[in-house]
Amino acid sequence: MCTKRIAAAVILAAALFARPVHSLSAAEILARVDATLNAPLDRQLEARLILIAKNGSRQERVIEMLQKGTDRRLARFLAPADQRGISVLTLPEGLIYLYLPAYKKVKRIAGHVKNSRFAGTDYSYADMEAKNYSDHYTPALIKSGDDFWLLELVPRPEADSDYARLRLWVRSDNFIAYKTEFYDRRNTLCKRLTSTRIEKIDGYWTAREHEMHDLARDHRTLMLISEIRFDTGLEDALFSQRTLERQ
Amino acid sequence: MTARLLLAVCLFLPLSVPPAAADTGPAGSLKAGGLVLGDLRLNTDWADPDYTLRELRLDLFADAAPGDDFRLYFQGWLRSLGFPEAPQEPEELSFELKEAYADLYGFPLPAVDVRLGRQRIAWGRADKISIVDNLNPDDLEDPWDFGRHLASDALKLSWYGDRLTVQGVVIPIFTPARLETGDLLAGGLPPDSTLSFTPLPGAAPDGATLGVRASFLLGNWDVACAYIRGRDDIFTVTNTVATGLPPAPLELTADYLRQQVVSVELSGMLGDLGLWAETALFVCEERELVTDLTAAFGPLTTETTRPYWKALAGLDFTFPHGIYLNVQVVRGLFSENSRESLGNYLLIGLEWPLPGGRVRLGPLGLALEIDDLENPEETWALIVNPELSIMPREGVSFIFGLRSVSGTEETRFGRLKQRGELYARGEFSF
Repeated sequence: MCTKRIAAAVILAAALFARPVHSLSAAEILARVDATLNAPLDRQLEARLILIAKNGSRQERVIEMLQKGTDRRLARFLAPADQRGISVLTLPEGLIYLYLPAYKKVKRIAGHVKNSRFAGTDYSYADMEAKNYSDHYTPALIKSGDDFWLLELVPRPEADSDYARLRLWVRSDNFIAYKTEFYDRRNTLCKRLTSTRIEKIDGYWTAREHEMHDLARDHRTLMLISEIRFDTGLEDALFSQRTLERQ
Repeated sequence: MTARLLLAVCLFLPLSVPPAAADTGPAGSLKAGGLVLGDLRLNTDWADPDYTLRELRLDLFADAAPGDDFRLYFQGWLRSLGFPEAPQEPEELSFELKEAYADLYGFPLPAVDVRLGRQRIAWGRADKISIVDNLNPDDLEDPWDFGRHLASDALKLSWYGDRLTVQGVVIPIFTPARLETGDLLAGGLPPDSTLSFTPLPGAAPDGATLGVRASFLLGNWDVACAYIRGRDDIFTVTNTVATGLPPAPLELTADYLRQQVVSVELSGMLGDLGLWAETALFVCEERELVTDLTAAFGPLTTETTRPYWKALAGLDFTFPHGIYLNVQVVRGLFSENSRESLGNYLLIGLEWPLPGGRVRLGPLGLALEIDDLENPEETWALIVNPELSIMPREGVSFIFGLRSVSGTEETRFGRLKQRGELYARGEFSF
């Protein structure tokens, strides 16, 4: 019985991925975006976050991030010095823990931080979470170009989203979303994410540079990934309070 | 090194070290860094302005991980500290070893981590003021730095299960709390009294502190239960003897009583609201507390020590634009160690980061004390503490603030009434 189910799933997936890309529906395109985004079993990366204010002043942070699947993530600040060692652990069931080295204490973080800015950047904690868009949004195909699709995503009724809708520009050759527009609950365009330097690394399509632009504040965050590795066999146990306390 | 040289080093470092040079070694092998801190506080007595504290501190740490399962950590303070009551010579420097420990990971079992050496062991869920954070002695040197602790020479074993973590701690030698220079606690003692202590206990078993804590996830709540057997790090006056008619002084004898603490803590969320709570039962050894005023033709009274409860509950929330609110209600502060001394406190903090991320306002820092809820008019005190933080560049911050105290002087906060102050603190992390 189980074997039959797996076989059916494989056939369905094969049918989905075998179809010519120009005849895909919005839901199918989004499924391919999710599949591309979440294809690696795990990833480790180091990135520079450059915060650029309206007047041009800059601040810089360096983070190290480990991720397994879509629901386990550990982010640790390496610089600047006054934030060094601060770590955020995200676990299944919406559990978030913060480790503050100055207090030697692991602190549980509540849901209210999800929509606040992550370490002063233009990303919210929710923006930083690994995503499976299809689980949370209903897509509609707005435009189909020669080498891209424009999808509009509306949150499903049960989804916990701070946005009224998203617009995704998706490359048709590799299903990478290279531009995303975020509309707030008043349906005003509030943020724009642009992804560049799209490369195939270890067999996975990945954008190495991202710019999140907060349009209301005219503040931008560049995320420059200096190092990234996939499928290194990160264990579940690594994503634990034990890891946070080993500092 | 003299304080003048320390000052030169402290002034030179912010100018010379670029923020990107913070990590001095390859990741995973050796990291070193530190903090330069300058803190100046002035009283709010405009007729007689004077400083209430001045501190210049160089805080250094080194973190070495020779292998995946072995780590060494060191942190020390080199500082010049002065209070009006105990002014330190400007050239005088002190060194304090804050932490120095070795970690062994996965030893002796894969699920066990060992930490040995001088260490801070912070139990509890609450922010800063935790009533279950009772392993390390309180550091009450700075009455405004709530929740600061000294590190202890200890052995800590942590066993990590799937959803359960158990920690066991042994602190072989008892260390009392460091009291404030000035003295917040002594402020509660009769004037002109002499205070002597029964000798401190030595090493284990009489002076040892033992602790065990189990933490686990229950539904969507983080829960922890702990038990500590040791001594109260705040002294208790066990004998009060009048030597004659007033103004003859009182002779006081104090002791650090054995005590056991059983505590429960939890944290989680309700909707988007962050919630936490702690409660602890303190059972100290049964002792007769004698007050003999017969030499002053007064009574001879005795009372017996009794167990007492402390409790705390708190919530936090982040509003749009990053405005952060933190509220805590506390029954019994960390330094209150008898049923009669427990006060009731409401603590409110609000932080408002301004656009650009360089300035943060703390317009609302409030601490309200009401010791007797049936008689609030005569047992209240209020501390108002607005604050402004400026971060001009990476790793550099300046904090300016005001502490104003009002209320009746019989209260814990009220005794700080004459200690209202303006303060400026600069920090540079490298």
